Amino acid sequence: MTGILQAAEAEMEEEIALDDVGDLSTPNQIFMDDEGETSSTNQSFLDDGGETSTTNQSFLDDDGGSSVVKLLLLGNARGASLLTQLKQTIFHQLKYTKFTQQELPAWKPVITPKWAMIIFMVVGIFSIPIGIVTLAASHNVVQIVHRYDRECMRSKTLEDSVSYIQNPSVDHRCNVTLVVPKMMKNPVFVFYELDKFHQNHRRYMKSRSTKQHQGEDRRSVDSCHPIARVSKRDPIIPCGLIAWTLFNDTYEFGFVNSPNGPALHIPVVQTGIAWKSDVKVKFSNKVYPENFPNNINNSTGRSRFPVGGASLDPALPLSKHENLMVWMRTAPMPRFRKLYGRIEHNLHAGQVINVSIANVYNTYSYKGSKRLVLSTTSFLGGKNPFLGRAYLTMGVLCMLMALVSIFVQFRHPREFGDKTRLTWNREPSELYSC
Amino acid sequence: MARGKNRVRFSKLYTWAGCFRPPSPLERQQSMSVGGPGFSRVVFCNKSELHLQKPYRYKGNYVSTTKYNALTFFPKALFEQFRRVANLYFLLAATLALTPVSPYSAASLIAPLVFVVGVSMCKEALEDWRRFRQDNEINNRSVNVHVGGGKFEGREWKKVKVGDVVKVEKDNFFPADLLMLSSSFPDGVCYVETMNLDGETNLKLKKSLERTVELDEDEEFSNFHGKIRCEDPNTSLYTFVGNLEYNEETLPLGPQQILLRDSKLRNTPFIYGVVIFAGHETKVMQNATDPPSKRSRIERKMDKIIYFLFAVLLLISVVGSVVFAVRTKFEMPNWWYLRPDDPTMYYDPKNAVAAGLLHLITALILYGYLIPISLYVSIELVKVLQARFINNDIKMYHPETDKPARARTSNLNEELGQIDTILSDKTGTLTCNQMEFIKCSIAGTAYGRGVTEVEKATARRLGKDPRMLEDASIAEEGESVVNGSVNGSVTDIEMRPMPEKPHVKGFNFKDERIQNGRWVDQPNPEEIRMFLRILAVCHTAIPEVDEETGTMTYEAESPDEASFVVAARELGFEFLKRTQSSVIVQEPGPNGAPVQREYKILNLLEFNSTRKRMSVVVRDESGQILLMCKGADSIIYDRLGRNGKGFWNATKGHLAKYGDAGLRTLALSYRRLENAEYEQWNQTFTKAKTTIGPDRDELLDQASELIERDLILVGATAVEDKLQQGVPECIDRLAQAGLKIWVLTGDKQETAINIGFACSLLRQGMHQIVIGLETPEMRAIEENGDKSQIAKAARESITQQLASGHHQINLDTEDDNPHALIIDGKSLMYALEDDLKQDLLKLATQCASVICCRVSPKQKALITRLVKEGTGKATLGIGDGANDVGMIQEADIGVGISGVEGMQAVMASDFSIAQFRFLERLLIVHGHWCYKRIALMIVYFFYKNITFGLTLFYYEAFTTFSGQTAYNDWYTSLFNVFFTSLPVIALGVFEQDVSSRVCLQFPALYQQGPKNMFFTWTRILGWMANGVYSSVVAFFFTLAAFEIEAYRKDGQLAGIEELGAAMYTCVVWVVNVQVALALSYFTWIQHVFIWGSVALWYLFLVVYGAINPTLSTTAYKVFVETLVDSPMYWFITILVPIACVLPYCVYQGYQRMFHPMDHHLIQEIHYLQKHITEPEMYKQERKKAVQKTHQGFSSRVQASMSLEKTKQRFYGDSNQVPEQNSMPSMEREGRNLPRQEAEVQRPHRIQSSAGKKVYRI
Repeated sequence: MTGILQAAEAEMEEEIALDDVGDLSTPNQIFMDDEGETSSTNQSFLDDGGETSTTNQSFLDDDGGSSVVKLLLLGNARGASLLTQLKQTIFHQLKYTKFTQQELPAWKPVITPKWAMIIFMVVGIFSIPIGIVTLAASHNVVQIVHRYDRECMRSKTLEDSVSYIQNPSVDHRCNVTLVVPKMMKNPVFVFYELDKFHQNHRRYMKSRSTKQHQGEDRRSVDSCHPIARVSKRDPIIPCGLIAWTLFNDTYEFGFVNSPNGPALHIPVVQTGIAWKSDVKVKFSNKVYPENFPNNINNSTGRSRFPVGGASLDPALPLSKHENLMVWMRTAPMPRFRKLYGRIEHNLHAGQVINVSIANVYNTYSYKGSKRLVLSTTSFLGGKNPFLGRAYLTMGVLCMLMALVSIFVQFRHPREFGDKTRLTWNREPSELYSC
Repeated sequence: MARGKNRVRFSKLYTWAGCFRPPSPLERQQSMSVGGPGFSRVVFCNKSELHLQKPYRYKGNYVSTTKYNALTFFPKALFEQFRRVANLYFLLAATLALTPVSPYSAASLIAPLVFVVGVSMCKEALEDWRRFRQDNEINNRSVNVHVGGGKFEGREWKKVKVGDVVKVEKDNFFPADLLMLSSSFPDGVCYVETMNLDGETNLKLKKSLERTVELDEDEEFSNFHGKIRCEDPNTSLYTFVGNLEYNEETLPLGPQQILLRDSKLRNTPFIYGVVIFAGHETKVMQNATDPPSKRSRIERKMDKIIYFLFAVLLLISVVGSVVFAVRTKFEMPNWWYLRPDDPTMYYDPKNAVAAGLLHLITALILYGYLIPISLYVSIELVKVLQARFINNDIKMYHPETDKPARARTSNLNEELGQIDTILSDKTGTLTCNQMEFIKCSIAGTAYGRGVTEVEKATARRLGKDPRMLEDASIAEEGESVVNGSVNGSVTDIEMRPMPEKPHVKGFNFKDERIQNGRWVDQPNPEEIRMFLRILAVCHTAIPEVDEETGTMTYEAESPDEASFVVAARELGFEFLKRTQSSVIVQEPGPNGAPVQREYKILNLLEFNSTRKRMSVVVRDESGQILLMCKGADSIIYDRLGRNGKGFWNATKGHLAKYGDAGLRTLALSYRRLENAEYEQWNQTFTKAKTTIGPDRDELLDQASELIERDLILVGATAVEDKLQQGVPECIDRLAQAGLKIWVLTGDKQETAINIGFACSLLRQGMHQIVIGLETPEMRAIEENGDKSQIAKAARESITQQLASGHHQINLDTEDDNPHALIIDGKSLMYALEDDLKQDLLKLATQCASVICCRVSPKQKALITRLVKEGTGKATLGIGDGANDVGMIQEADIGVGISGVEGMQAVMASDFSIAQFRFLERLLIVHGHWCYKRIALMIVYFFYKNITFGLTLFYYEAFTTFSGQTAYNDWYTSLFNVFFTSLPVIALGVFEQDVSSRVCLQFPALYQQGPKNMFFTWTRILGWMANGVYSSVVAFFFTLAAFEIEAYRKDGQLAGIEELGAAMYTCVVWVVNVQVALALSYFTWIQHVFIWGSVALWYLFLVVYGAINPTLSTTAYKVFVETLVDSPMYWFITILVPIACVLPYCVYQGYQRMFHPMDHHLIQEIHYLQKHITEPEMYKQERKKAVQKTHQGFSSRVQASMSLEKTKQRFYGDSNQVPEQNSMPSMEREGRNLPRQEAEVQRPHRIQSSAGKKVYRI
């Protein structure tokens, strides 16, 4: 035992002698390395003078202690078991755990040029196909967008338009012809599109009562200002600006077989356009429209509330008014589309569709527009090339980055872990301050 | 004794001076000198009830250190919380949330605030509860109190009143400040341990008045009455002035009779005492002080960022409000769907200005996410956790004292990584305050073969064999070497010297000539006898016999003194016993056999830092009166009589030599007194002693001065002040990390310089610039005595010396040799004045090492402030004693050594460590980590809140700034609390750029902190720009994907619910992916926190979405019904995070590729395992990874190696080793330099043989 120790000591001293001033401290390492270097050679142990060796010396002052250290230096297995003993006995107050000593095993990713390249490549390789697929999906969507607010308005001045649209006794019917550019597969969705309509205005958004619509409390209309009650006792159901402004243009579709022939009616399904949660929970089947300004006005012509939008059939509970539900899912932007219904027929290329529009909704006061949209969908929804373009751009950019990094590797190769780039190996003049 | 440690306490006597900043300790101290404490207190012994009435109304003994009580907790703690501007802002926001102005529901704003404030208050409450329990424990301790009729009864401490007579038994604490009346010992002494007051472990002797000694029975007190008049409560632990009127006599009282609360009775069965100060009026309580609150640089910069963001917030709010007002006025009348004809004031087109103003408030609340409420909480939490890691670091744990490192204030962790200058105390910090008697000079002959650490270290570094030194030290004396024990263990003599006898603590003296009684054969045996007798008698130590082993140890006020007594014992003069009035020493009789002699102690002239000496007047058994005096050599020299200077020249030479070897020296002298002379003097002295009042000390000094003259020099002692373990290595590494170390010490110049050499702060070849006033001219002026003249001359001299110092540095630019500045306290007095201090600082910063000696605690603090404010860099003060408190409190970071000496320094400090060497790990590992963690954490925090906050703003723009958010209220409120907080905390607590080992291996990495590379404005703004970019991408990409077309196969369109939820999902992903990229260290914790946060968002969405729509509003089933089966949603959540982090990745790649930082490269080296495969390269790099420094032994060795080379160039290949002796001569040369340089002449340089430069004019 002593012989071994002396040998170890001699070896150590030799090491110290070789090692010059920077490493005067006794090389010892009793704490296991967190980077799994323990398996390496004796040399690497001796190389670990950076650790405050003095710390260890403090409790290993006696010969026994330092022999443990030396034993460890020899990589002796017994040394390791002694180490565990030491760990348990020495620290009265503090316990050694990897957690408290911040030595938890950790993954320390270092971005090597190779890995950077691979990552860029991989991202690129994945993005480009996604981009192509989504772009194709968008491309395959067939869409007809037709703005009709101008052609359905004979008056040219704003004032005339407004008075025309607000006059219920005038016929607001207006016919529009659409040509199917491409085969549109069933189902074809019918949307109306408005713009400059601030459904996202805070005043507008707040003016609703989920409690009431849900049937919890019919009288809960405080949030509905300014469309809350007709009198103190009679709440408006459904209350609020949103319900009151319900869009009320209607569309009737028909095929035009010959230029002057009769139109063949195309049915538009207007059920199943609302979210199930709306139908089942948010809009009760026990709450019926009551005192609804649009209704009152239609029947009696007298109300302190002006006409807003569509009337609601008082005989049907709220849960049946799917168009209301769609409307009440307020749009996030001032330009928005809402689902009107579904045509469950295939529309073939070249077919001419006549749409009979009841142009009654006032978009003229605020100079908005109205559009009728017929669209098929892909698995991603409507005709929206953004996602595809974004993915493609990103993919291309990533590939480009990968190429650039390859290029850089060739032109200005930097040795990875290059010691010459360390600040202390460079001239002060070429130091780069970050 | 020679430790010039003034025990000054900067205390909390003063009112709150600054509104924003508590007064610094300096200001406090300055105001302390204004007006002395009053002397109005009257205590009627045994009549405690009298003090409850007017005019006394003294406080009871109930002590409370709590900040709050049950009633005041809520108002006070709340007030404390809302003193933070940020909290106040959030409170305002929450209050406004109750009005319709708020964009969010009230609950979603109030809940986080309540949480944040609640957590902080709980922390406060818990801390206070702990204090309360501690107080309670103390208040309910029991003590025996006289209840009348000579009966004592146990009573709780809190019920003890002023005037009560108490009986305290062995090993109990004193319940209040007591006047000691008597003890169980007939001579009325007792031993006291004052560990809790000053941390000193040695016992102190207290002594009751002679007149009250007989009161040593319970019954005696039935009729005991007395009246004490004394000073008012004050903070001075070491003074007390008062008198006792007892039995129609007025007896003077001094600190000797006062037993302070929190000290402990030791080695004495019991004592009786009268309570003078109770409760909060006790000296220890008066001293209690909170450390001044400090803030780190990073936090102060963070404030600036917050102001910046406030400005941004205000700007975008104003923009929003203006747009809102304009559109409301001009466009809203057309928006019939909003019923503009029936408006509320918030949207009234007719009164758009009011609406706009109201909107401004809304907007300020809405965009409040730019200033995260959780930042403060997160930082606080992170720092507390960091502090826990510091506390738990085993490598900073000192098992011998069982003391781990303690972060006493957690808010300065990151400052540890930015330190530029370390200001260190010497004694107890660099040295262990453990004295070993190693050499002495008696009657002009030097004894002692011991080799000091300094000598060994120097020899080792110069490649000499330290073993040779022992021979050399004897050989130098020209004496023959006796019994060479050198041949012992050849292998490692310096590691394990094999002593024949077990090592005696405090005694490392080896000299056969006088050991084992052989001194009688020496030429001057009588002088030696006197020398040893002085050592054995002239002290204030107390012998303590260990009952088990029977060995004797000495408790002394200072370790020097203990080492003297031990030395005397080892050399045959054993100090056996001390009684009230005498000292019994066993000394060799005339025939060599030991005899016991009693020395009556007539007077004790105490040591203090101004006198720098102590004396005793004793009467020996033959009736001869002797004055024995030991003190600093210069002081003793001035008081030597004409016939006392016989050995002066020889002794002086020895003293110089000892000084060079890093030893502390004292000169010993004595004087024989005639009876008549003594009696006459004794009257003067007693009178001075019984004086009450502030001038008492001065009178005592004057009286002492009268008798301490005409002394006869016997010899000098040399005591080694041992360096603490690992100090040279630690200094070396700290220096390599680019830290500057200044030593501020109370020691004299020579000792300070020696320790400077020992720690390698000074080295051969350094140009020493010594600034001092010990010049003949100054002395001449001083003798003339006009104060203003002295000051004027001194100022001139200092100015001149500073100027010539500058001049010298400018001249020496072309050679490598660094400069060292050594300045003493007296010069500092002038140099620290306003007009000179900039010069001083400029000079000091140009010097590699700065050593300030003979500095007062106040000067320590002043220097600290000068460095802190003058350089604008972070300073760290480290010390262990009460005299370092000012420095510790003034420095940016105060570190206390929780070693032997002190609690006071620790109590005032921000961090405490058990040993100086732990400073290395504290700074280079924990400091580095904490700095980087906090810096990254803060920039990331702003990043994530900008990313999030700006999406709110963009959305606003589409709603005509009406105050509508795309997100559900609870998404927004929980953003910082749930979905993004844990990763950032993981970042702040666990992140490691490199492992602790690498930090230590490459000390140069530390410079990233002081250079502040990670919290520069470019970096901060870069991250902010990244935040802006991310917000743009997250918002517009999501919008583009969901607008205007259907986003599902079934033709559904995105409502605000879906868009908001999708966008929020993207933001959560973006910020979490970004933090993952910013990290370089992933344990399972990081993975759980980061990916868990994202998962938590989905979980929340599902759970919250399942609640009734009246509560969940727009979140109702939004995920499970609408988003989960929409490929668009998933594609966008993949796209946005990648697109957001792309620029960051590119930048990182670019930086790593073209401008890699050191830690990047080291990470790479480790990644490639190069440190294993190429150990030589790794070792090389480690060696190079040091800052250019002139401190530390590495640089010293390097310098001496290059010196060797130079020499070889000059003289060919000679093996001449630079002589050690050249050091002192160098010093002397250096010391004269400034004056020579004053005449501005270009000096010639001559390369001397030792390679040093000498200036000749």
